[in-house]
Amino acid sequence: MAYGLLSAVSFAAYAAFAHGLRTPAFVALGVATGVGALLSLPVLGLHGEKVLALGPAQWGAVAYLVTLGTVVPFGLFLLGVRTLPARTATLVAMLEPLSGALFAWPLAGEPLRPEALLGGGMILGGVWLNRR
Amino acid sequence: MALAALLWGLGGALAGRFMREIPPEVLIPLRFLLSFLLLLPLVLARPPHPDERRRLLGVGLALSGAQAFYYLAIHATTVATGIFLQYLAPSSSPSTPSSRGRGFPGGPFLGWGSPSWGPTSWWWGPRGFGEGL
Repeated sequence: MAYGLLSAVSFAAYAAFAHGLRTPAFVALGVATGVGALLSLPVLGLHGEKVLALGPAQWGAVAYLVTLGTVVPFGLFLLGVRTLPARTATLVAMLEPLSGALFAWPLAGEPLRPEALLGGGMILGGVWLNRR
Repeated sequence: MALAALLWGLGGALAGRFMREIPPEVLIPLRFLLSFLLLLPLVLARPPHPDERRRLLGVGLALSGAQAFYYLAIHATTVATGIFLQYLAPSSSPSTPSSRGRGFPGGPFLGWGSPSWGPTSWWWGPRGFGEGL
């Protein structure tokens, strides 16, 4: 629970720090991931054998998470947050669980339940209420 | 911004199958390192302005925290809990303009309250998105 809350606060800080940046979005993301790499490299060094044990499917998942799960969406987020207020940016980013559920239906065979539809409707409603 | 959310959602749906196979102490550093290496040519080609270096350090620390804690939350609980808790971020954001003297944005209170509770409904569903992932 604490990890999740710290993640939320960090994400809000990320949006607030990034608002109005003049540095190109993907350059800013490069610097930001560089900071992350620098901080986490010692951990990776301690678990080198686990990296070597990864199979092709796991490497495929890592490749997806790096490109279409990190570089492209976080770059797009930084592009958006340059002009949008941080609060609006984080709200639009809340479409993630909605798109996640929609994709999980065909990809993972998870049906959309009434509770999920209600939650998705509330998300869309909130984003709409915050439009400028 | 919406496309970013769409890609994150697709990533969440696909990564659900693999996340349990790759421990967070491997996934988090690998994700940062490979993303950095991919973007390094851009950083070298257009180095950030010196005036923004401190702010970029803040962006980097915040991004590192968001991603690391997100995966640690998923590892400690479930993907659903991690996603749900991260979507409390908009509730944290209004404190930033307030601290800058722009006042608390009371008007859109319902606007960010509703999406904060939306994932809650999602999460609490007996076999909704949360359990599925």
